Amino acid sequence: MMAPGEIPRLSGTPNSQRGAKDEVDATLRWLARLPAPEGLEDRVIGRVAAAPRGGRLICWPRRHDRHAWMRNAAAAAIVFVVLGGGWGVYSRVERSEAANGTAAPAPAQPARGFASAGAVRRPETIPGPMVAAPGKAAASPRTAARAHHRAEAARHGKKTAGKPAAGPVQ
Amino acid sequence: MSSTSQAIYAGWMEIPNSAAESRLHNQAEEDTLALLVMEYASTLYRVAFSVLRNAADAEDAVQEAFLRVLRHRETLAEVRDRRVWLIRIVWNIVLDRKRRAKTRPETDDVADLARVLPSNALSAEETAAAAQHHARVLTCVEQLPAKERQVLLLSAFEELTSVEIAAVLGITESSVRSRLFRARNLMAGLLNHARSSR
Repeated sequence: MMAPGEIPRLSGTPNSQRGAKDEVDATLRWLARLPAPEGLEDRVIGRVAAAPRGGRLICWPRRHDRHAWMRNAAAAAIVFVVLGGGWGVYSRVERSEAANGTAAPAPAQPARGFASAGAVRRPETIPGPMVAAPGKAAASPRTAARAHHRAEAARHGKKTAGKPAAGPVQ
Repeated sequence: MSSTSQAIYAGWMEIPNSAAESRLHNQAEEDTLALLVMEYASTLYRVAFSVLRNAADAEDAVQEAFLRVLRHRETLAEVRDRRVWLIRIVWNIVLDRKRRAKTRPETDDVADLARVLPSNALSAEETAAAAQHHARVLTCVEQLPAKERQVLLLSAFEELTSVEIAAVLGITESSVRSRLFRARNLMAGLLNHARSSR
């Protein structure tokens, strides 16, 4: 072990990593082993004793108190009395029978004029899309063929057989 | 009042003398604190001095640490390892002071270091040389990054294991080891560089 003031002796070449690490260790160990000044403990104790001990507004009971069970019992008794008294008052209050019925708001009456006599206005609904009856909607094949034939004739400028031409009369 | 009711009164309803009790409690707390001071003040001083490098500041830090203990004396019973707990307190105080002061410790002041060196068995030249050497190493320590420097300083305390250093710094043990490894390598480089530039 090195003396506190001893300079570390380097092993190997002076530039070696190991030697440098040894130097660092030696210096830091010297620093860490420096003795504390004499009378340090007395001075610290004196200052701690002179320090003001702040009083507290609320002092919680200490954990290792001999009389903690008494405090707990007293607290439990207080809680019991308060809750019991509250329950006693609550259980003795009689509830009125009228309170059992369901209260409904009175219907609003018009100030003047005639009453509606209970009539309820139903708004008219918008007519929706009408679905055609299946018999009418689906045209028979014969009718469809006739309509197609008429359309073809009109396109080629032919007269239809059943109708007179709309041209000038000769 | 019957004897039974008197016994019940004495056993159940007796009001303890709170003033005397609190006095006793304070006395017990002071005794505990005094024991802590006697046991750990020296260690705390050395930890504080390793960072502050000033005897008065280190002593002040130790006193502040014990004042904090006094303030939180209710939690003292819950502390598992009081030594590590106290070192952590003083470590935080010291780092806070150093941060506030924003001044480098006077590592370059060789005269200060020579004053701390024991004068017995050392000639004046030897003392001066030792102080110069320590000052040079400590200057290099100050150039390290903060995390590495902190681990390196704490590792010099033989009474602290790597687990305890981790507890003081609030990091994992593996972080302590890796930081220490980095710090030593950096220090070797810094010292070699300083030596070659001379």
